[in-house]
Amino acid sequence: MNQTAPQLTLTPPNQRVRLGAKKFAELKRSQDVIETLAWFTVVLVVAMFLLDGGIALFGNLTDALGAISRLTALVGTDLLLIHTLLVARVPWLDKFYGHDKVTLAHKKLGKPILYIISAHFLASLIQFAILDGKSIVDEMLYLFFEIPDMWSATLGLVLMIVVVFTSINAARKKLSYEAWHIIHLLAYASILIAVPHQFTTGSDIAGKPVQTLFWVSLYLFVALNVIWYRVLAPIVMNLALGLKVTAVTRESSDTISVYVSGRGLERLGGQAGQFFMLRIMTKETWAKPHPFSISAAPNNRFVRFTIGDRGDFTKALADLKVGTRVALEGPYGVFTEERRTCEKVTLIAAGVGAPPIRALAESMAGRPRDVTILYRVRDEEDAALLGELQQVASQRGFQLHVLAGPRGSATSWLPGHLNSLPDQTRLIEMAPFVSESDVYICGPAAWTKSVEKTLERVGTPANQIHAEEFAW
Amino acid sequence: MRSATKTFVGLAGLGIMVAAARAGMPIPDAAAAITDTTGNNTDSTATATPTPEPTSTATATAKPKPTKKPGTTTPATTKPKPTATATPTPTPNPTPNPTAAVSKTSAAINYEFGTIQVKVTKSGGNITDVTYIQATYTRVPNGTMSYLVNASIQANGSNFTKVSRATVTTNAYKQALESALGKF
Repeated sequence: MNQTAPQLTLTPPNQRVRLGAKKFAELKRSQDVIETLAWFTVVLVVAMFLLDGGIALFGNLTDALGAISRLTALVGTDLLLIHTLLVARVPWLDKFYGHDKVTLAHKKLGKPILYIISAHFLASLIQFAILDGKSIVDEMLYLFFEIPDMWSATLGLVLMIVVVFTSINAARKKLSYEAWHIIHLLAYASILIAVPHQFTTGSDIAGKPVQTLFWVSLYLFVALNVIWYRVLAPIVMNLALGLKVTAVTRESSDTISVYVSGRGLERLGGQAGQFFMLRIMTKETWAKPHPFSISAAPNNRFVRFTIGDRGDFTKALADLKVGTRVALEGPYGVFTEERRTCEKVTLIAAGVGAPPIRALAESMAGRPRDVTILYRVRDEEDAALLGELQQVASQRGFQLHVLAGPRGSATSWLPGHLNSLPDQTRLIEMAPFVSESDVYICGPAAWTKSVEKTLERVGTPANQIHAEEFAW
Repeated sequence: MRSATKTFVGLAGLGIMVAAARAGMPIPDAAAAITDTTGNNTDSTATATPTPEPTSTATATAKPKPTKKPGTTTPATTKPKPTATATPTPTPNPTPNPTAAVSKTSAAINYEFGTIQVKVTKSGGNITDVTYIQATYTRVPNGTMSYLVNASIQANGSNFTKVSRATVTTNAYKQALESALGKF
């Protein structure tokens, strides 16, 4: 904590940015294409089952159980592959949805998939027990020990149950992130050991060339995406860059900035508003990545993260030594100018949300007065990055409103005010164009919600409001 | 997803599935062919050359669909072969023989998954052939039905091990076999 920050030189802003409603329509179209493709894989597996005479099987109990078992297996596996792809951090999903939305979709899919696959297990077990005239327990032992690949498939299901149960909210609260993460990685193992029985005993693949081709390519597609984007690409990039900490500086009483640099930094890419997973490459911390937004527009001299004291890890960062190796994964997120459709922009930050807003202010294309910045702080004297925001605002001719002090009322996102005017009135006073501008909000979740509510009252269309949650 | 796209995906998906279900529906005739309709279940002695007619109808109805398996009751690893069950293989020896092969037909054994009726041919005290007069079953492993025939010829009776995953069918077959053997 003895280093001085590199001289602050602002990166020239973007010269050109595409605006207009058409841009938003294009984004929606791309999302529709991706979602349609995903749904059609489900339709396709069901259709292949039906083409195979599936509907005729619902005539008697054992046949119907067999049909249910096949159908749930097909749909469950298909969804499971999509589920896996959602956390592969593939750029072509991140670009259209953002890391948070993709992760949210992944979370939502977890439990339904477990239910579907459990239904497959139960249906086939009961069906075979009836056919063999054995009790459920005998049949289970028989399948487990005598039928090839059944023990591994059963084990895969058990692992899957463990993974889902440790991920439900109640369990997540009791587990440390690290413990949860290690358990969660078992999901890959559970898929790998459950795959063989689909090919060796599954009646929808063996000896059916079209189905085999479909499933093999689906597995390969997902596997390659996971292996490349989740594992190999970050390793290759970090080996090439050789990133090290070049400075650690204090920004406020509870905020520090970490500067990172390496060879050929421009290859790292990224835009203002995006974030990276940061790993400190020491023995104790290398396996614990944390997400941080960059707090200065991308440049070829350094990457800067401005980090508030939130937990053990962020406290320890203050003692980080210059020269420590670090690794970055990313960039991720769509809290960027990519999403801008209007000429006017309103940037609204609170406390720890300042870093990406600070970076956006630096890089946003705009004429004087096109951009309005609202910065909500507890204490103006002790606000991180405030000096830099003031510098950006004065150089570029942007409006900057610093909102300091305790909040006015329980529901207000603004500090107390003498006239106690409603939030929306005060917002329009500060940012007259707010209803026809793109609004970027970054701050604590509850505060962000309250800002969004005010924006709704003011009349800013939902597709012009950009907020990103840390979902990881 | 925009609502227009949602509607499209929903309707198109539904359409594809309905079309697939219709195309995959077994032809009623094919299902009927699984149970032997030859009517050839009366006792026939010696040199039982099956009439050519039933054979041809059985095979003709059993293979009407080149693309899809008829009435696919396919479970894990099983493909019922209607042709195998419906086509009575001609007894190997059509020439009259003094120690002639004698055939007896069993009672039709109704069991949980269908009916099994067999015709057993014995020659000089040994079982030389078993053919199915009726055989309906569901989801037994591949080759179960022919295994049962071979096993009973080899064991010269019903004392052979059951087929895993086809316990009930094996038992029904043994019952039918014993019923036929009882008539000799």
